[in-house]
Amino acid sequence: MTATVKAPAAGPGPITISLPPPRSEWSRRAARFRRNRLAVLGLALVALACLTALAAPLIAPHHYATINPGQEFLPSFSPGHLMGTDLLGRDVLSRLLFSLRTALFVGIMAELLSLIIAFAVGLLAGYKGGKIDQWLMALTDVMFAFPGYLFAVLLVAVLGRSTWAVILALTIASWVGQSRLLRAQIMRMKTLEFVEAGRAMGAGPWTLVMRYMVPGALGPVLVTTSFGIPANMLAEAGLAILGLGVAPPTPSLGTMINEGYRFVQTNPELIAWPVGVFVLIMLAFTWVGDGVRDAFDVDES
Amino acid sequence: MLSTSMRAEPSDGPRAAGSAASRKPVLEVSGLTVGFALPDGVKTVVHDLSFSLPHHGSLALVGESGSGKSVSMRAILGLLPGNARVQGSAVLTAEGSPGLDLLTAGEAKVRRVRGRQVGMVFQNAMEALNPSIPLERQLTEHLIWHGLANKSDARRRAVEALGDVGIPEPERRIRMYPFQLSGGMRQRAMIAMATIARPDVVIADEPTTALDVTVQKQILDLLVHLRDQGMAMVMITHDLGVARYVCDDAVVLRDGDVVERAPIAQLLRSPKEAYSRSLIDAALDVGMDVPEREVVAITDTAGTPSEALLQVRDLTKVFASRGGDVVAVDEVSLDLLPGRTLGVVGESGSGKSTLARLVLRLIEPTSGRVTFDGEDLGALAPKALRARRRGMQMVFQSPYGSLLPTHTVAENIAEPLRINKIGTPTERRDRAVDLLRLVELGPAYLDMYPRQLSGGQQQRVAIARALALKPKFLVGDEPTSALDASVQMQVLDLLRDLQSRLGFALLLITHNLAVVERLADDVIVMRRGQVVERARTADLFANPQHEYTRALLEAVLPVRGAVTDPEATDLPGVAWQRQ
Repeated sequence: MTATVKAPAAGPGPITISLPPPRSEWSRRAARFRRNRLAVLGLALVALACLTALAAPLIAPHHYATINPGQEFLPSFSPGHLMGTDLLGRDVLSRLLFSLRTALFVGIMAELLSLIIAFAVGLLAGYKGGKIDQWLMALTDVMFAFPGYLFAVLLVAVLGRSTWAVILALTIASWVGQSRLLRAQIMRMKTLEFVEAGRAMGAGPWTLVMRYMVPGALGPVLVTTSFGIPANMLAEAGLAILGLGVAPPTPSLGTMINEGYRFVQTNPELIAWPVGVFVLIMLAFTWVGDGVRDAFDVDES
Repeated sequence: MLSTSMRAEPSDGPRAAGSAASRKPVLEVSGLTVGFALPDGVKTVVHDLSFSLPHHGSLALVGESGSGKSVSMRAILGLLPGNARVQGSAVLTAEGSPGLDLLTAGEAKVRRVRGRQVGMVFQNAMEALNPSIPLERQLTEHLIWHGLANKSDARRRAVEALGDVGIPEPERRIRMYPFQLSGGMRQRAMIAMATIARPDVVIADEPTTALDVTVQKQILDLLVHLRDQGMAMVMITHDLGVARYVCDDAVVLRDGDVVERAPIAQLLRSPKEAYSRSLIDAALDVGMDVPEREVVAITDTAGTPSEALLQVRDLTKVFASRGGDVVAVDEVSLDLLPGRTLGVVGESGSGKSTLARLVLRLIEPTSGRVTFDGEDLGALAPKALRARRRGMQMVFQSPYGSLLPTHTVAENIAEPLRINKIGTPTERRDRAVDLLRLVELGPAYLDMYPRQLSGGQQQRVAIARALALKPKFLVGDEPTSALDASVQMQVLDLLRDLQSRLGFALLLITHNLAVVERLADDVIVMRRGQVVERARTADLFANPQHEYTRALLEAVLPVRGAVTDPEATDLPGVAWQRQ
């Protein structure tokens, strides 16, 4: 990455410059991400899942809640029902597409909300320090003391089974770790020389945090985010299996697995399809997370 | 990419110490070539390095960062990572035994040699010593591993070894952990570890670079003492003054190639190669001819001193720590006139960097007052303070660390303008071009990222950034100590030129007396938070008053001028016999 700069020592004439195209930090991160093949595959799978989830109303062959008496337990690859039908004769493919929609919506929304809280709490505690830090960290300690999952169960039981109740429950269970991570990152960044240089140049607190510290703190946060989304999806499925997920008739992977489980000996495909899709998505997110970690790994060479 | 160019001739010329001429050298390295296998091919970092080290000999490997001096020594000891490709030979000949080629002997054999026939001293003792076990075990397990002693014997010898390197009360200190010792003591402990088995050769990699100058001299005296007892030594250093003080011979490396080899006295007197000459010329010394600086500021026009730009009165900073309060800066007062340079000299822990940050009010003082341009900074609200900071800027020690790594050179230089909402983006970029020219860099660098620049270029960018707001006052916190020796002087001279042209006042924080001599009009010497001496620069060097100032001056190891002879230590002689 050397530059050859030819500048005429004296006299007129244009200065000829041949430089490598300068690469920003983000393009170098993208290159490091791309070097991880699995991460690219994972990202493609996640993108595909998101697209199909978004397009579910358009591409689903049937309505997910239409009951077809007399067409129960059709095997996979039946005409009109690619993945067969379930115990009420509902089209499994359509239900799966809408379940994916639910799962991704819940997973991403909960992660987004907890990120927002985490940024507010983590940045405030990390930058301000002192009393504010003590109080906020005491709050996270209290939150940590609750078993997060039980707390979510409790919340859904109180708020009722709606999608937003599930999202809220998962958010409350997951913002704590992110906050602590951000706080630690900001506290580390605070002592770095370029942050001090920013202060010496006259930067105010907002500029210091947003322009100088957050970009450097982003790496680990993005990594935990890409692991947090599938964790939320898993938690949502878990709630659904307990009968505390999103309310029927909205389908969810957990509900499908829960219903299919009863017929695992006679119709294993009822459980195989949702579990298979779920495993694949979990893996895809994990690969993306690995790639993000690679992307933010500073290599000195 | 492996080059076979033979720039390194076989060892020639008279050895400084002719005593070992008849005997075989302890260590004979020939044709050492080191490369690293990377995804895009093998990158060669050392080309065809050859030298021979006689008994009692001491050889300096001299070069700038990236010259391959450390890598070559690690290659000899088999300490490189798995992707290293090493060729050539490094024959170690112990007394009365056939030679062993360390590069082909295989890991098992080399392991028996490491620590027993070849000792290694690293730059940073804190990192090289195991922090979680006391010295005793680190010293003894070494002997026990090599089967050189049993447990009780090993303990006795470990205590002795600590005594040999001048650690007082070795019986007590041997039970301590590395972090309980001072930096100098840790370095001594590491030397004790490297020499406890009385190896034939000790390789010392920048053994004093991390230490204060007064401690550096003590450690070097110790190494000379051990050499006189019979230890042969290869010393890796970037500091020609250190090499001259300790070693007989020198090999100059550049980008992995041998540039020149000669007895060090001869090398410094009449270098054959242009690169060696440029290294020697670039070395900063105390007592050099200092170019005149025109002071543009309105200092003594009517015979009366003009108003001080910066007034510091009884400034004190106390840090609370678990072990009790630490007074980092203790009632320091100083005045800085417009356009003048005040040097603040001190070793680590003297409070000089804390003072710099207090003056800019980057940290809050415990007590005392800082007046800048007639305004009491302590009385200003945060917003007003930020506005005031436009007039006072800072250049930091680590150029890369103080630049935004994710932003281009142009963006970095324009950052102070952006923060203070001055100009449009286009105007700011134009200003960045001007500023870049001011620090003698072409516009080609505008869109590069800091990491693509060398250390010296990065520091120029940092200086350009500091000047963007046309400050009246600049703080330089060790602005050149992270740079290679060959560019230090250039950056200092640039600072001085800029000062004459722009007329800012400079508070120059440094541990290096030569830096102060070159730039400062006045100097204060700090020790443990207090000012022990203040004087005009010329007076300080001609006639130092305080004993600490004198100790600092005596610890300087010059490249030019009269040789400082190593000081005799009052340590007992040791029988240098491999055991």
